[in-house]
Amino acid sequence: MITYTSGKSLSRRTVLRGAGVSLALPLLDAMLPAFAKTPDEKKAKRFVGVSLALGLHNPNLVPEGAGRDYQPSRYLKSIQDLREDFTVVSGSSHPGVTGGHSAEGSIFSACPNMRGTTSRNTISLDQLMAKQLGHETRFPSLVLNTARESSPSYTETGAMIPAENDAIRLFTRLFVDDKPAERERQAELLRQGRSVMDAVASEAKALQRELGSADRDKLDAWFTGVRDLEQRLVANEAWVNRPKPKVDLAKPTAIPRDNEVGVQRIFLDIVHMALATDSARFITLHITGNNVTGIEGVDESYHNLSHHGMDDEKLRQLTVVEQAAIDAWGDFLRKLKGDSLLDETMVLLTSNLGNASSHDNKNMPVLFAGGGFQHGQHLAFDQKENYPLPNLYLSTLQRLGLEEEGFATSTGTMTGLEA
Amino acid sequence: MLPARPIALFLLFTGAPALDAAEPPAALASFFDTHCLECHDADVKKGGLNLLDLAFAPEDSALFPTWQRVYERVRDGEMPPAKKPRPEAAEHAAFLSTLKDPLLAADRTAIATEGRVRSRRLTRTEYENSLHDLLGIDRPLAVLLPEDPESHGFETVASGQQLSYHQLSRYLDTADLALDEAFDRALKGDTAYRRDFAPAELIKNRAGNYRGPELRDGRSISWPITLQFTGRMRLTAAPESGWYRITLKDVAAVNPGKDGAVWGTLRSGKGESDAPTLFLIGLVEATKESRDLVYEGWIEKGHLLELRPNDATLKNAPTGAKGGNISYEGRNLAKAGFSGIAHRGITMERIHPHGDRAEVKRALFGDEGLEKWKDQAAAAIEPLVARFARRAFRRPVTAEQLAPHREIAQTALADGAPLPEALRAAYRSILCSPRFLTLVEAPGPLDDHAIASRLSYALWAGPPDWKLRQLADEGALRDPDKLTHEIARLLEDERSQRFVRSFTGQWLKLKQIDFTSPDPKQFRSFDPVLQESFLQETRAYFDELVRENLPIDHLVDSGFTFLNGRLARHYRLDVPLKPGGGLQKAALPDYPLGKVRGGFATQGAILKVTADGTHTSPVIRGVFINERLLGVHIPPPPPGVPAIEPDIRGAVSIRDQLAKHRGSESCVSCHLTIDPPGFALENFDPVGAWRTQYGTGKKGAKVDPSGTTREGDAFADIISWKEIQRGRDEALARGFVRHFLTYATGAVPRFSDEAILDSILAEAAPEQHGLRSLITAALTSEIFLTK
Repeated sequence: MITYTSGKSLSRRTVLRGAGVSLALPLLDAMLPAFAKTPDEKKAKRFVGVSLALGLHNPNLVPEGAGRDYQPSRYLKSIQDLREDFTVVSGSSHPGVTGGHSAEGSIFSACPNMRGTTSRNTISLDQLMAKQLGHETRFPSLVLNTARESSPSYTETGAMIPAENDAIRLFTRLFVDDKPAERERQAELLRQGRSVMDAVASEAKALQRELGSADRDKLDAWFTGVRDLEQRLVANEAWVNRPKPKVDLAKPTAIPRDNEVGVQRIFLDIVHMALATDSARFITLHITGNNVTGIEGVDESYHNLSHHGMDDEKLRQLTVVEQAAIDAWGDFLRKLKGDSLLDETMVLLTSNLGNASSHDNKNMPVLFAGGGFQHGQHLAFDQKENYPLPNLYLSTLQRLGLEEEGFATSTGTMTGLEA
Repeated sequence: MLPARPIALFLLFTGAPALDAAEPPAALASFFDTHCLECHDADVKKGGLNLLDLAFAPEDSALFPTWQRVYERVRDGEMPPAKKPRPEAAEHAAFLSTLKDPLLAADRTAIATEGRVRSRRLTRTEYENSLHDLLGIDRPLAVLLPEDPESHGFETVASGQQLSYHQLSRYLDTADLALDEAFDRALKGDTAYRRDFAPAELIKNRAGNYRGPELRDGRSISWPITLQFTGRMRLTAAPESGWYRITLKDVAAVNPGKDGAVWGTLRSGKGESDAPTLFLIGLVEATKESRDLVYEGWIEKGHLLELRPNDATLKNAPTGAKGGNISYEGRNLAKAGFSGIAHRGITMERIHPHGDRAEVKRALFGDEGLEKWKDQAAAAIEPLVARFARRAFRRPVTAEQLAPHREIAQTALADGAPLPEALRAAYRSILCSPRFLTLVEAPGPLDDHAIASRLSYALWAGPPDWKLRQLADEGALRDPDKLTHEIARLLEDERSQRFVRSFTGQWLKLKQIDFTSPDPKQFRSFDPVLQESFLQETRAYFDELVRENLPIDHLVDSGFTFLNGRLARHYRLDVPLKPGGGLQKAALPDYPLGKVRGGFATQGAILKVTADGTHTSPVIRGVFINERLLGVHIPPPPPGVPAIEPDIRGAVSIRDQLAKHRGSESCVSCHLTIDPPGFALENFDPVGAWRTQYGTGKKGAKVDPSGTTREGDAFADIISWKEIQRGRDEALARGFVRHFLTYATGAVPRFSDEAILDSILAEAAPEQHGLRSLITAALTSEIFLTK
């Protein structure tokens, strides 16, 4: 996926598609092709990873009691109608991942990191999925962030994928057609881009001769990058002539910048439509905004609330914000369920921080829904000796039909999670 | 002592140099037997290290780091651990000398054949500066590229830079945008814009919530009203994205404070609640005497100006109306004693700070312009593409290197594109080439052009100018005198301000000044003016150290700093400052509140970036001060250490909590080094204000800033801590040079570089390790001049 930033470049660089009649089909018709082909075998097709940069307050999240008979925690009360659709996991985390906020890069890669070292990140779960299964949709993956450009999505060369952080632009890229003249120009730029990549590849080859073996790794990354981009440019040229789907969702006009959960909802609504129209199947949304004073009863910034330092008032406000975030996630699940998408879509809500106040990366919050798994349970692992969360990631890969034998530091598939 | 192994004995007696590659020499083997193998054998493998299984092959790059670590831990006396018997001095020395030479040899061979640095890529700041210098354009480009990851504290470090097609596609798009601007300006001309807004006009366009200035007696006045966007002026919306010069006429303070000024900000932004971000153009210091203030800044199309007092210590004026509307009717805020900023109008004009249209044309079409190639477009391709490539690649370009780009232009021309379009296509591919985007350096001593590029990216964060390129063409840069002369010239040039900004942004983490916003309830005095003043202070201080070649101990202490009126108040300093003078160099008063402020550690910017919005941590500050200023590397914490749960209620200080943490043996060895500077800085809250108690309202626990350094020197507070650090010139200088060379070369100095570091320090020693001397010595050293 080519990502774009400035307002100006947006209209011009948005990948285009064919003139053609814009068919104002009702949503369900537009969706039909994608669903008609659904195989009978029980297999998931999609993955959505929602990550919170500031964690969830564990005492409010983790339920009493394990297994199917758990007592809903404070946060989970509002989504009990979905009880059979999700699993709550406690006492799990990524082995060897430390560094507080800086562990964000490992949320979906589970790559062990140590503060201050230069170890390279490894491919994130969504990108591994997209690499193998993402070629059928307009966007192999969507990498989204409510506020910043950083993302927990990494390529196999360990490069962070810059996130789309503008909901209006995202909507335009997914669902709004360019004018014919603009499409023409875009097609030309895509073609030119391919010849530029040819030139870049031959330059990298020449440099390999000039610089000897020392810089081989670096130049290899250039070759990989050029090859991948060429493939994307070819694919984008093909998409140019296909109509973008029409959706029953208005383009957002105003982003509530004082209400991070409101922004989260806008993004999730678009993600819902992206899934429903089969525009993308592998999506991450990183929630990083700091402004929550637009939420009733909150008058401090999100980050400062997360550093509650045991202060009662801060904890009270933090609870309001986090409850709202969970409610938004629940509404997203309800929409997927209403469209019969949930059984084929795995939806994860997690964070790199198990305790934001102390920057602890253990005991990550984990809510996992959909994908045809048998949910309705609390998988309670040891809060001191954490269970490896990469095992869940391996389970999701296998559920997609991928024959991976491991992911990062996994030791097997997730104990207690059955399809 | 256990007997050495037979094989080692045999070799010892025969002195045979042809060791079995995997067996360590005798002196090492016997030392291991005696001191190490109890823990580091196949059974125990403490810390994951099994010395019996560690092949003695330091030339193997996979094993080198382990052998280096073994050497350093024994050298520094960390191993064997304190509770075990000490090796005898002779034994210790023999071990080190036996291990050192093979390590040095292996490291030097690796550097000679592969170099220290692998294809370092331009950071996005360097990319922007490069395109601005290359094309004469001025649109911000860095924001269009992904953020650069940081490694060893710097974005320039090649080993931390990764590449993917996402990055490449951004390069493609950004080059396109930059070329759009350049070709548009060259072919269509610049758009002129100039408007004068009288005070009476600035209150126009009152649709929606009025948040604008008051019009009174012919002047436009902004008041400190807490509503968002107070002071926005809708009429000033920019017609196009671009650089503007903004003149505020006859700016004067209404009811100035004791420092003779009212402090405010001039910002641009959409000024709507769905796009609340405001971009600082500059600080406004309104004084009793009225004067014109001139600013230059990039403003996005449709963004308007907002001018308001922005000093959190000012008393806020009421809005005067319900529903968020500001109304001045029937009120006289000046008489009521509120402070405000008044002026007599604003002039906005479009400018092009990086080059006029002629310059852009020259950059694209050469000195003689397109006219020269009328009717012979085909002949223009080769010379113009070659010229552009030489400048973009910062070195001569062979026909073979040029071919792929030239062909793009030729194909375009053959397909019927006009000459500018054909050139544009080739320039686009040149700007995506690794020869532009990375520093091309072959193993061994650098050639002149590689030196020129390293030098200009080090001191200008941008490409070489024509003069530096010319010297490279002449082969002059390997001459130490000429190189030294160029270093001086580059440092004198205005472009060195880019270095000050970029280097301090990374070294002292000033880029992170925005990462957390201080809790406004706890830290009421913090405001945007203060934050910007913090940055200005630290940058100006570093600039002064370099410019005046001040001794290295100025990193930790000095008798002066840079202040403006607002900052002086925040630091509670009574110093003579000229009202309206902005940031000024000022001697620090001799009383404690003055003395504490000398040196980087107690500057507001450093205190803020090392704290989060609600509390301070001696550990975070301690690590920062050790690593960034004192030249002491702190290893990461061992895995599985539980973090400390902060408690901001005030009753428990973090110091009490840390005491428990330090009680454990595995923690204490590092925390003896980490914590002391952090303790000394506990007298400063997250926004850098002085405090003697935690919590708000003086109800919290008392701050205890005392401690003992690792070396055993006790200090009572930050003042005596600084005294101790001032005696550590060599260590401070070595730390600084390592940081600077890491930034300037894109790789951390290596094991075998220590001797070169020694000579750099020796060279600068006569100048008390002045910063400029250190920088010059570093830039003329083998580390800098070799890949």
